[in-house]
Amino acid sequence: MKSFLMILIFGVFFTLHANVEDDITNMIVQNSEKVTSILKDKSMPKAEQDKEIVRLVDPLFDFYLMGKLCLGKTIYTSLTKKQKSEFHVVFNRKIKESYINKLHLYTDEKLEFEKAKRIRKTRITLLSYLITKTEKKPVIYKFYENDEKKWLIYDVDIFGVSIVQTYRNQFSAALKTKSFEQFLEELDKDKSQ
Amino acid sequence: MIENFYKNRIIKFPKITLFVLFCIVTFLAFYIPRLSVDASAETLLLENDKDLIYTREINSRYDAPDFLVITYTPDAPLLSEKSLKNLKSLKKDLQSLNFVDNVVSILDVPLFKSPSKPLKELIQNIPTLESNSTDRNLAKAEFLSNPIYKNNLVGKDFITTAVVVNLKEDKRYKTLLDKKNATKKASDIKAFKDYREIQRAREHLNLQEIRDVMQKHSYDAQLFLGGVDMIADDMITYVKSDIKTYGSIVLVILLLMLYIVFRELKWVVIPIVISTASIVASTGLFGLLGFEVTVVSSNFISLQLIVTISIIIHLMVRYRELFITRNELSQEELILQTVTSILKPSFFAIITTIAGFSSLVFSGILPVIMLGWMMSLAITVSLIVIFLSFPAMLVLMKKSDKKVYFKTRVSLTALCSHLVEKHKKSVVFFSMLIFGISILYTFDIRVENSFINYFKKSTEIYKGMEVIDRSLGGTTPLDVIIDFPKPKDTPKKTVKKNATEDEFDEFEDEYNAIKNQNQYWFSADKMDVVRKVHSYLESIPEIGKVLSLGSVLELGRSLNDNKDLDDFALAMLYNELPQRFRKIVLSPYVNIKANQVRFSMRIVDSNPKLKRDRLLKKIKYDLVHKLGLKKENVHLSNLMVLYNNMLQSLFNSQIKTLGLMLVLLGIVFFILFRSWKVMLIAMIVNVIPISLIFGVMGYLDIPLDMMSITIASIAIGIAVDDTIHYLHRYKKEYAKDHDYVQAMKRSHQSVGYAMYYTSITIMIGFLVLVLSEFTPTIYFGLLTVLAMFSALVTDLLLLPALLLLVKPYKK
Repeated sequence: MKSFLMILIFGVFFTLHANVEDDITNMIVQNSEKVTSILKDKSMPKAEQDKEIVRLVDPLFDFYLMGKLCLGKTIYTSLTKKQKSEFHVVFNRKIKESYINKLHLYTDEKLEFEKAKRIRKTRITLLSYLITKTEKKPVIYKFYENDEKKWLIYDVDIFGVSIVQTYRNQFSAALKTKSFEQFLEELDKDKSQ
Repeated sequence: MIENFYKNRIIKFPKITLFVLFCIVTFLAFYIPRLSVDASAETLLLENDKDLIYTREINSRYDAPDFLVITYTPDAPLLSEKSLKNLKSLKKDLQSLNFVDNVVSILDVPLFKSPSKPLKELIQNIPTLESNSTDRNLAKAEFLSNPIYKNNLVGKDFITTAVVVNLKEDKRYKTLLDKKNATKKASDIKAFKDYREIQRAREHLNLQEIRDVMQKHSYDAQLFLGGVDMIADDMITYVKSDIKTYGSIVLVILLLMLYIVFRELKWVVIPIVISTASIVASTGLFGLLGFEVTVVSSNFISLQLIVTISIIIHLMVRYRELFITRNELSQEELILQTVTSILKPSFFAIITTIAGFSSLVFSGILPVIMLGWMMSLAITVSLIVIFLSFPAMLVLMKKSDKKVYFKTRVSLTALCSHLVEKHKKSVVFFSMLIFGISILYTFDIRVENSFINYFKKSTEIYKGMEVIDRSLGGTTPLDVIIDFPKPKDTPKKTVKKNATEDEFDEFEDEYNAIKNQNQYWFSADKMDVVRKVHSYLESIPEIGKVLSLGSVLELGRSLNDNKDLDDFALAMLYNELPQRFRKIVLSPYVNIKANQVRFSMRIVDSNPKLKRDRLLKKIKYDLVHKLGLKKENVHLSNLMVLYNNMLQSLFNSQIKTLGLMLVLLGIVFFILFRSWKVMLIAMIVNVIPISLIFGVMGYLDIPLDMMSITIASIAIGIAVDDTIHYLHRYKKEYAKDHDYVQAMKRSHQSVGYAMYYTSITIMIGFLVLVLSEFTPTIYFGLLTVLAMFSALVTDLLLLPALLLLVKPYKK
């Protein structure tokens, strides 16, 4: 009886967890299919495509956390409340633009998804592959569980390059020689990245 | 004692003396083949130069193979079917040579805009000139605008292209060199030298094979060969061929001159046999001792010839003088008197010359030190051979019945003594004037090392280097290495944490763990530095081509709608670039492990305005003061720096050794003449030819470099000999009647003739060198003639004028 109970408890536990990973996998697969169909829709103007994609990906990402991570703890905690909110406004726009620009580069390639994997209690990664004519290239979505128990993407690692880590490098280097205001102004101005 | 030695040994047993000498010279002759000529880059570098160690370190860190460049200028347009077909066939032939690693030409470099394609399509299949999809008109435009190809792979006029022949790495050479430099053990040095000899011979053959291939393809195009390896090989070839050709022509002219002056076969045979024996003996001795002839010391045979002939002529003139004045003496007695009266001044002349050359030993520059040792040894050998063989040979010959009076034939020495007698003050005044003017022009001397100017304009190497300089980005390699500051570890602050901060920490740990991965190295701040340094270096007119990560960034920008590649794109580029392209565009310019970048440049060697030392100093100064880099993070390296270091230290050592040489001369003069006044007079007389040499070099814009640096030593060697012989004789003549003027006249008519004949014979002989194809040989010939001439003039005019004015001898 005792052992039956144990099996039941663990069974429920594992099932619950398996559900989260499956949910994440399914959510991303469906989402990416939608995004791909938008990108392939030649009749839709680019601006509208972008708007649609943002609408689709916005709920999946935690852009607020990404902004914090890109600045790094030391810098972020030294900012005033006003600076922080100004930064998040600029960064939100920028990261979305940048992500969408990268999506536009790969409209014709097929995507393959593996099953999401829990690597820590509050972390899940989803490995996918971009299939080109000659090779398979890895794209990893990184999820974390926020305080509201919601799983959100905090970073994407494209072909071995983390978006957050490249921004961390870029921001910390820029802030070595510039004031925060100058940095923010340049970040806002620079539409290319 | 000396007299007894000559009387009882040499003159008594001349055949035995000559036989023993013959055996020794023959024994030493066997070692001549062991003497190697080494003109490689290694010998021209300073042994303990920290820049040499640094350059070796950089060369091993970056992917930069040894290469040769063939310039290819077809008769038809460069991208025509015919030219490309021929180029392809040339490439195939070069590729088939077993020492060639690969050949890079316009045929096989990636083309990104011919026509333009989306980046991801390009990365999957990068087209070349030979791809079906390539549009040749667009390709031409791309070659002329691509930051890596323009002024490098193709000339600005799009008529000439470069074919880069990358050579297989000689790992054994590098291993042996490293071992030799690390242990400095005799066995390792020998192993390295032995291997280098084999390798040099092989390199020579390899170049010949490349030339054969070029010859085969030269019907529809003009081809030239360039590259650092080629310069070294050609220099050795020129040095060797000059020694052979001009060495023998000089010898023939000396023979003729000796016959014209002395009119007796024995006075031709004796000097030539003795000089040849001396040169053979010393060359063999150098082989036995494992010495190497470098471009600096390649003149040793000429120097030894001058000194040897000079002593023999003094002996011959003295013998003939005694023959005329003391005809009653037997041949043995004549010889004895000749040898004993000339031995002392000759000995001292040799000692001072050796003192002069030994001062080179303190220069700290290996080829110059070797020249010092070689000259000192060679002159010692000459002294021994002359004073053993001259009396022995002469005693075997009959006493001549010919009486030749010098003064009936040549009156120039009499004219000199007359001039001094009447115008001694004017002589001193004019000498001082010449000295002053020479000193002024001395300040115009440039310390430069221009390879291109070593060769005449008609030579293949000059033409090749000129095309590479003019159209394909320059010759002498120079690297700028920039270190980036080490990233600081994130400070761990002990602040009060709340739950969110703990979570922040978890993420921080995750990113700190990956931040040092290679792909994240390409940060915007580093790339800014790269772009700034690259465009600064490109702005310098003396620099031909700059290749660096900056060129890659510029290329990336042109492929990215003229927007700079961001950190993400660069990280991606690093991860995604195929290995074969990484070897071309990244590994020669970036070393992530060392956290540094390399800017590879070539200097336009043929630019007449090029001031190498000033350029290097300016680059370093500007990078620190104008671009704001830290001094300790900026380094210059490669051949340009190493040759410049050697030249600058040659220049410093020249001043140092000249100073030391004068001090040594002063000491020897004082010991010899026992008088401060005579010592000072002798010094003044010897300083003027040196200043004149430097003044003429300044006036004619002959740069002071590793080839011309030895001229001052030669000038001293020649001038000192004449001064000592003259003063020695003058003192003897003065002792006869204590009459300064008569002593001068008698000295001029005796030793004066010897000096005159020596100078004329050698001057005419050495003028032949002007015909050489190798500029250093021409300068050497001209300056030696000038040194001989000025030494003769100062010793026949200024020296007696000063003696008459100062009157240094007591009655």
